[in-house]
Amino acid sequence: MKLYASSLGLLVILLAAACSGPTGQARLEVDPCLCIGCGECEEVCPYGAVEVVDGEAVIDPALCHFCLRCVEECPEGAIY
Amino acid sequence: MKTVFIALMALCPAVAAVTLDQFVSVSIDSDSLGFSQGRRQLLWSGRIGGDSWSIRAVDRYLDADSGGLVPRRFLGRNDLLLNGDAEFGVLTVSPGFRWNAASGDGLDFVLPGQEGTVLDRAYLRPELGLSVTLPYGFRAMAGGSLVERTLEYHDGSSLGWSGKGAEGGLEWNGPGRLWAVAGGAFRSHSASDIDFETDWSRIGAAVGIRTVTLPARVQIEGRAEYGHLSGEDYLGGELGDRLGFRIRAVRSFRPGLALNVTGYSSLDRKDGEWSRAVSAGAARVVLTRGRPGEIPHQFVLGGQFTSSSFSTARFEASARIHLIDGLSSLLSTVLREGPTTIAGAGGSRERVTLGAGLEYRFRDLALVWVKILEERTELSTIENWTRLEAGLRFWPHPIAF
Repeated sequence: MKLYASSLGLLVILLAAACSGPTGQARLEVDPCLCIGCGECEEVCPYGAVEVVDGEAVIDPALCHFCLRCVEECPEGAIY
Repeated sequence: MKTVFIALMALCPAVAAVTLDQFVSVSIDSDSLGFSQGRRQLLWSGRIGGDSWSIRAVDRYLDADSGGLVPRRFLGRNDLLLNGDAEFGVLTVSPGFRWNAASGDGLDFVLPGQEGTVLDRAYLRPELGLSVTLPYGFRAMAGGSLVERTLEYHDGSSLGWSGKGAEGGLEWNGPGRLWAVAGGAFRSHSASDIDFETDWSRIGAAVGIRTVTLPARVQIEGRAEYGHLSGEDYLGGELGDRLGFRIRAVRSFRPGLALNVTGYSSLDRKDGEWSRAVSAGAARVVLTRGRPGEIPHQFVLGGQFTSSSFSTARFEASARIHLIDGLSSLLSTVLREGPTTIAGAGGSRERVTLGAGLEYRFRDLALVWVKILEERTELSTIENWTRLEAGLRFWPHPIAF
């Protein structure tokens, strides 16, 4: 229970730290817990930057143009 | 394809017990209350395997109209995935193959470097993976893949686009459900007709703990990972490194009631500077009630948010209420907010979808459902759609040879 509480505490601190300040993000992230491998992101990416590999979407950082179509279309909200 | 299948079969050692499992799904998502608009999908998957080998196949046929808000690259396509595993002592060989072909002309694929658009006709990816189990909980893995895209200019001439990838790593499963992995990956793409060539590589390491049961019916798992990327993004900028932390905790309050919490936070390092990248959190409560032997009622309440250079939020409430025999009613509400690419809609878009329907389960053999959805979304004006979803899922009993 102590470990659980301290882990949650660590999570809150990390999230709070990460939510403050400017972001330099230029790469999208796929949440492995949420991705169901449906391939909708692959269908809408006009740059061929998304591939479903082993049932999970993988975004190629060199091809991704950050157009966010995959973010908009993902039914599970798994890309951010 | 036939050659690949024969090659897969040839890799399989002789075994006594062979079983075949299958799954079939047919679904229709309409853009109106008719079936003429929307998406129709037929999916079949099968697995045949023995004691030390297996072959899996998934074929998905998709047919869609052009009425979707976000443009698609395929209005119709067939996607075939075939892969297998064969164990030879400590060595596991995993060949795979994916073939994705547009059933019509294909839609626009935007070429890099403002070279215009071409039609995306097909995609072929053969791959091979090897893994070796080593003493003291170690496992070494290596793999490679090739990609061949069939792209065509609008005048019918073709454009050669190919890619290749390789990856390898060492995994360790230690005591106390601890694990660690270190490895690297390489990808390259080239299109000789437009003098395009790009590649990137990643080396990284991750450590974590698999699901651990703690007192008070708490289960927890977490991981930390760091990846160093070499290469350039589409603007020619440095890809940068990423340090990320992910945690997941599940608390069971009593049988049938569980809370699932996940969190992710990451930092990017570019040009020697650290900056925040992505943070995300999600929570989900699932309540399942029912008598033994009956289909249980299920209620789900969940919410998630993400924050990066844009933000997203999603809230979901759904229920499956058992009525009689195999019949249940379905209710759902989904609220979403996130970035949009729709012209005139502003930077972000809100969506609310309400759904109601029925499903019928034929024991553990099949499931059929129909659902009506009402969606309201904020574009340049408020839009409302009524949609119909229907489908059939079928799990034939395994066949033993």
